[in-house]
Amino acid sequence: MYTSGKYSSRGPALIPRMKTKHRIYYITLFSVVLLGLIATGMFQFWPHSIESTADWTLDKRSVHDAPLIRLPVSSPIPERGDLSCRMHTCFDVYRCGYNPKNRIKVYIYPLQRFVDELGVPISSTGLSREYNDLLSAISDSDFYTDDVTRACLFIPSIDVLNQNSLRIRETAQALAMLPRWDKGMNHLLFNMLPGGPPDYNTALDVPRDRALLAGGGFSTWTYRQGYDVSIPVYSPLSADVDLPERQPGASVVIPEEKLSEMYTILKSIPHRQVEEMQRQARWFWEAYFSSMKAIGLTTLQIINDRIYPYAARTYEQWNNPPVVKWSSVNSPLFLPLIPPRAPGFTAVVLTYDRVESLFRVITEISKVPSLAKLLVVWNNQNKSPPEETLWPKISVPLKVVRTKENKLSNRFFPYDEIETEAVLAIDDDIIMLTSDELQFGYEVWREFPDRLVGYPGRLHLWDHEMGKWKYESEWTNEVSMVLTGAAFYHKYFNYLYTYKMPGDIKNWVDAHMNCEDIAMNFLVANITGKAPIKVTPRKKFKCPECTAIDGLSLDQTHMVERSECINKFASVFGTMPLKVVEHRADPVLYKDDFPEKLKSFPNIGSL
Amino acid sequence: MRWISSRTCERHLKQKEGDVNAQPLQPGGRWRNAPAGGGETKTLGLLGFSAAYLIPHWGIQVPLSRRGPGRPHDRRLSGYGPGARWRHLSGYLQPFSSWEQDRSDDLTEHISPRQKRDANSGLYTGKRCRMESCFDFSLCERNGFKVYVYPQQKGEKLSESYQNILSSIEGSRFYTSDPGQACLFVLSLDTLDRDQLSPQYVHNLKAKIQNLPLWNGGKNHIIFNLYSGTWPDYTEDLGFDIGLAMLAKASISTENFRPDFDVSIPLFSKDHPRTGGEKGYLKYNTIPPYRKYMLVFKGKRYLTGIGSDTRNALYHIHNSEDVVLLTTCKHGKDWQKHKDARCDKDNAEYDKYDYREMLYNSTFCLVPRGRRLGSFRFLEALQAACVPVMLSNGWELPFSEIIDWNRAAVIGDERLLLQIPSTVRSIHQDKILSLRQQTQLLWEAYFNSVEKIVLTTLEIIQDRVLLHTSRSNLMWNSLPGGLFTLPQYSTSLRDFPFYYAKLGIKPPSKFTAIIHVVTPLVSQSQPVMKLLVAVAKSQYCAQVIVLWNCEKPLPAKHRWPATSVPVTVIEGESKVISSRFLPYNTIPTDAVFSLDEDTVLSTTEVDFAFTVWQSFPDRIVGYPARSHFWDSNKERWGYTSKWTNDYSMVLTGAAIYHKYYHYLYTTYFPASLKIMVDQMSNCEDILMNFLVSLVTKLPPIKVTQKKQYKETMMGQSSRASRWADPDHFAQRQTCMNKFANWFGTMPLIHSQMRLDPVLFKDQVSILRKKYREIERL
Repeated sequence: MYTSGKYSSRGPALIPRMKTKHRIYYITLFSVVLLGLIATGMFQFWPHSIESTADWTLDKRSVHDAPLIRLPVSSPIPERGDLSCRMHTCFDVYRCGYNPKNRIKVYIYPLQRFVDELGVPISSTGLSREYNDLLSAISDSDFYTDDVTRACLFIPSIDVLNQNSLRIRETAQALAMLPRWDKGMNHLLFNMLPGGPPDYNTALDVPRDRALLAGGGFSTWTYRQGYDVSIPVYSPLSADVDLPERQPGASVVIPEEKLSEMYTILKSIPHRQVEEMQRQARWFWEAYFSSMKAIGLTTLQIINDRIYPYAARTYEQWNNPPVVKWSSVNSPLFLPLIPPRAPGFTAVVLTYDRVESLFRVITEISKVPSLAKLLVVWNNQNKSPPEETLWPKISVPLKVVRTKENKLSNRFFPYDEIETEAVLAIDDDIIMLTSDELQFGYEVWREFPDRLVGYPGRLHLWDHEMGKWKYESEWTNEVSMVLTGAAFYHKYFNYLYTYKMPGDIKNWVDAHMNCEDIAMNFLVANITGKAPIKVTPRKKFKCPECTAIDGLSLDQTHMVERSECINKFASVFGTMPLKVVEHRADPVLYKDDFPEKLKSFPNIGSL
Repeated sequence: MRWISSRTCERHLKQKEGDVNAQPLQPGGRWRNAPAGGGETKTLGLLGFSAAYLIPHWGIQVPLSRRGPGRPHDRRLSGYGPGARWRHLSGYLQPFSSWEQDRSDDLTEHISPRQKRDANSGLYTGKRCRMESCFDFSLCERNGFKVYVYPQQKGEKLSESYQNILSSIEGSRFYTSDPGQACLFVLSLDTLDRDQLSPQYVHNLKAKIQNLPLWNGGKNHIIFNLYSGTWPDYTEDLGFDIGLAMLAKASISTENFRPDFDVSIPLFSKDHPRTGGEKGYLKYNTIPPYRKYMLVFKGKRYLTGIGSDTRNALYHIHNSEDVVLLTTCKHGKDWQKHKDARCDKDNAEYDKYDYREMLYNSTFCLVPRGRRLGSFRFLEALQAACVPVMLSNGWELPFSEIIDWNRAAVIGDERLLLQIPSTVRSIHQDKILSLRQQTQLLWEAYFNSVEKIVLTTLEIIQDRVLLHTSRSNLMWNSLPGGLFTLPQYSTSLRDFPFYYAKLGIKPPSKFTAIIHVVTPLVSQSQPVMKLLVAVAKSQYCAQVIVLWNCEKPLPAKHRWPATSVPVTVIEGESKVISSRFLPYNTIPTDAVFSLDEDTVLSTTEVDFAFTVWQSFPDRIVGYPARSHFWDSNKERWGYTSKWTNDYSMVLTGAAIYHKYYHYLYTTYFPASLKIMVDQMSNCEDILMNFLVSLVTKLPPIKVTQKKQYKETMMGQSSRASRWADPDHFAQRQTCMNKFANWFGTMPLIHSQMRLDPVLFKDQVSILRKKYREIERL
C-alpha cells in the first residue's frame, strides 16, 4: 500500500484508459477467490443432521425403520488403511469382469443403525443429508445395481463424511461387520472432513483396511496414488494437498515454503490465464463439485476410468468447458504427416449413364503419374455398365462398383477398393483438368492431408437483407468451399460422411439430389477447424454443380437451392464451421519468368 | 462483501496510475522500470484481498499454515455462519476414542501437529520424500533452474548410456559448471546398472558418494537408473543409500515411486541415439486402421520366478491368426532344466515369425512385464506406431506425471489377461487412429533420443520447482509437446501459436513489423524509408519497430517518416544479428513481421502475407524462399538460392511468424550456437527456419510476390553486397551442416506450392481483384 502515495500524484488523465483493463483483471481475481470461498464454505457451513429426512429411502425403508445393530465390544476392528494399496494389489477386478458397456456396477448396503452394547449410536448425526443425497444420486445412476452378487464396488450406508461426528472405533467395527467387507476390498468410503485434534490427520482416521477412500484434504503422504480419489473441501492455496484429480488449469498451487513469494507469483500470472482459470474453475465447480450428486458420480466415473482405462474419458473430456467445446476442434488427423508420394491416389468417378464423357475422363486421369487405381461408381440401377472390352485401356486397375440405389452419398462411401489414403472425387464430365493440374493437386493434398484440396472454389456469404446465408459462385477474392466434382481428400472423410454425418443431412442430400459437396465441406471444416485449399487458377469448368442447365432461370433456382443447403446445414451443425480464406495454391514457379521445361508443373491454368 | 468491493475500487485507481508507465511507448528507460511499480500495487492489492478472504474462515481454511494449527480456532468461531448448527451439533468437542490417543502418546506436547504428523509418517527418511520435504528450493531461486554435473573422476568408467545422459545435460541450456549456481546436481558416477551380476555394475558406490563434498545427504541430487536388483527377486533397491536424492528410474513400481519427487523414465538401450533420434514409423493413416495382426508379442518366457506368470499364460489367447503371441524358453544357460511340456512347440512357433515384421504390421503390441516391470519393447512399439497394450501391474509408466498414457496405450491388467483380446477388439477405429498418432507424437516429443529423455526429466523437475510457471496437461500431451512449449514465456495457452484451433479462438488480427537496419540513414530515398511507409500503411499493422543494429548513432527522430502507426526505434543489443530475434517487450502483438532494411514490399503484399499467416499461425509465412538438398558427391547438405520447383526455407528478411519463436530462438539454443551466428553475422534466418520446422514438422509457406523483388534485392544497397559475396554463400552452406549436426537431424521439409491470391493472374477484370498490386509490375 505504500506505493499509493507515490502514484496518486501522477496524471489522472490516463485513468479512464486503465479502468477497463484493470477492472477486468480484478473482477477475475475476485471471482477466482470468491469461487474458492464458496467451494470451501459450502461444506463447512452445510447444514443439518438428518432427523428430518424421511423423504429418502434405501430399500424403501426410512431411516427410522432401519434395523438396529448392536456391536459387541469385542467385535473385530479392521486394519488401519493400508498405504501401499494400489488398484492392482488391493482391488479385486474380477468382480468387475468384462463388460461391453465398460461400466462398473455399484451396490449400496441397506441402511442400518449401529449402536454399541450400551445402546449409544456410533455417530452423533446418523445419516447426514449430504450422504443421503450422495447415495440417492448413485442409486439413481447407471452405476447402481441392487444385486450384490453382480456388484464390483460396494458403498456402505454408514456415513463417514465428517469424522468429527463419529466414534472411530465403533464405526470401524460397524464397517467390519458388513457382509461383504472382506478386508474392505472394493468398498468405497466418502469423507469430507478428516482428522481432528490433536493431529489433524489428512485422511480419515477410521481404520478401513483396503477400502478406497474418496476424501477431501488429502496430503500427498496419505493419498494412495491411483487408488484413493481426491474430492473437494480443499484449500486452494495450501501446499501438498492433492487437488481433486490435479487440475492445474483451475487453481494456483504454491508450496508453503514459497509463501513469502506468493505475491510475486500471483502477479506473474498472465492476465489471459487468469481469465482462463476463472472460466475453468467455474465450469469445474459446476460440472463436478457443485453438489453431492456431482461429487458422487464424478468419483464413480474416476474409479470406472481406472478399471476400464481404455474406455476412460480423456483429459479434454474432463476439462473442457462446453463453452469452449463448440468452437474448438480436435482434428482426427492431428499428426503433421506428409504422406509419401508413392502410394498415389484412387480416383472415384461417380457416373450415371454418360458413358462417352466418362471414358474421356478416365483416359485423361489415367495420364496422371500418381494415379493408383480408378474406381467407377455406377449409380444407374436400370442399366448395366458397358462391357469390359469397351472400356479405355489404362495402366492402373479399374474397378466398377454397382450401387443399389441412385444416391449421391454413394460417391462418398468408404469402399474397400480404395486402398490409398488419398481419394480424388471427380465427376464424369470433368475433362478440362490437365494431368499437371491433377498431379499438382495430389502434391498439395500431401502437404494438407487433413483438408479438402479441390479445383473450383466457392464461397458462403451472410445476406444482411435476408438475414441468412447465401451461396456464391462468382469470381470472388475469397474461398470457403471447394466442389467435390474435382477434389482430393483423405479416405477418413468418406467414413465420416457415411457414418458420422450429423443430423439428417445425409438423407436430406440423397432426397434432394444436391449439395453433397457442401455437406462434405461442412463436415471437414467442422472437425478440423480448417479451410479447404483451392488449387490452380480458375478455368471454364462446365458448371459442375449444374448438370442440366438450359437457361438463366434454372441457374437461379440452383443458386437458391444451394443457399438453402448452407442454411440447413448451419442449423444442423449448430454453427457455421466454414472458414474463409483469400489464398489458393499454385506451383512455386507458376507464371514466373522461367523456362517452362524446367518447371515441375508447366501445364497449369490452360483453358 | 461490501467491504471487499470498496477496497477493490480503491485498488483500481492505484493500479491505473501504476500502469501509466507500463505502456511500452519508447525503448529504454522509463517503461522498463514501470511494470515492477505497477506490479507492486497489484500484489499489495491482492494481499489485502486474500486476507479478506482468509481471515473470517481461518479455522476452516488455514491455507497459510496447513489445516493443523488453525483448527482449534474453530471453537471460537462456532456459531458463525449458517453452517454452525451442523458443526456444533456434530459433537465437535467430544474427545476421540482412547484408541485414537494411543498412537500419539509418545510425542511431546509442544511440537506442532505438522511435525507430529510428519514424524508419524516417517517423512524425513528418503522413502517418503516429496519436493517440499526433501528438496531445497532456495538453491534455485537466485539463478533459476541450473544443473551441475560433477567432474568426472580419474579411473571412473562410465557406460555409453550414462555418458550420453551427461553430455545431453552439458549441452543443454540448463547446464552450469559452477556448483554454487546449481539447483540440481548430477553424479559422474554411473548408477544406471545396479544389477550386481552385470559387468557394468560399479562397486563401492556407497563410499564414493559419501565422499563427495557436495553430496549433502543427497539433497537436490538426481540419480539416473535403468536396472536395479538382480535374480531372483529384482528389488528396486540401488544397493546404496540414495539419501534425499530424487530417482529418475526405469521400471519403477507405484509402491516405490514417490509421486512428484521421482521421475519414471523409459528403459532404453545403449544404442539409443544421443541426439536427433529416429522418426516414428507411421507414414499413413490408412482407413480402416486395422493392420494385418490385431495383437502381437514375441519374447522370452520365464518358466519360473518373478514376472513369469503372465508370459506363461499368453498361449491361452494366442490364436495364430490375428492374435500372435510367441514365447521362447531358450534363454539362459540352463533353460533345458526348467523346460516344460509346451516349450518345444512354442519354440518352433517362435522361430517362424519375424519380430520386426510383426511389429510393423500389428495394430496392438502386447507389452508384458519382464523380470522387471519395464522392457525395451515399450519404446519399440511406440516408435512402430503399434499401440502398446500394457500388462505390467504396478508399473509407474514413463513420465507418468505429465503424459496421459490413456491416449497412446491400452493399460491392461495382468489379472485380466483373458479379456485382452475382446478388449482390444472393442476399441473403436477412431480411437485406434488417435492412439496411433499419439504414439508418434509422444515418441518424437519425449523418447526418440537420450537427450529428449533427459531434457524431459529435467523439465518435469523444473515445472515442480517453478510451480507457478509449469506446463498444463495440454501442453505436454498435444503438439508440439512440452519441450517446445516453454512456460516461462507464458502459462496461458493463448499466448502460443499452437492452440488456436483447440481453444476455438481466432489468431491475432494485428502484427508488429520489425525492420532490421544495419546501414546508416543517409538519404530519404533509401529503400528502408519506402519499406517503413509501405508496412505502416497496412491495415493489420499495429506498430513498427526499427532495430538499429548500425554502428552509427541513432538518427534524429524527425528523420523517420511520419506514419499513422507508432514507430519505435530500439538499439540492438551489442549490435549482434541475433538481437533481431529477441523477444522484446515492446512487441505488442503476437504476430511479428520481420524485415530486412533492403526488402522491397508493397502494402498489398504485406496485407496478403498477413492474411495467409492467420491461416498458418504456427509457421513462417513470407516471401524469399530457399531450398536445401543433399549433395551426395560431397556427402553433405547443400544450400541453394536458385529458382527451384520447391523450397524448404523462407528467409526472415520478409516473413511473418509468431512472436513466441523469438522467445524460443533466444532460449532454446545454447549460447555457443547463437555466438557462432553472431560472429558470422549470418545464418540467423536459416537457424530460425530449422527451429520452426523442428517444432511444427512442416515446411514454411511462401506467398506470391512481384517479380522484380529478387532483382532489387540483388541490385542495390549494402546488404546486397553481402549477398553477392561468395564467402557469404559458402558460409551459409557451412551453417546448414553445422546446424544439422547440432540438431542431430535435418528438420527442414520441402514444399512444392506457393500461396497466391484467389484471383491471381486470372482472366477477370483487375477491378474485381483485391490484391491487384501483386500482379502489376
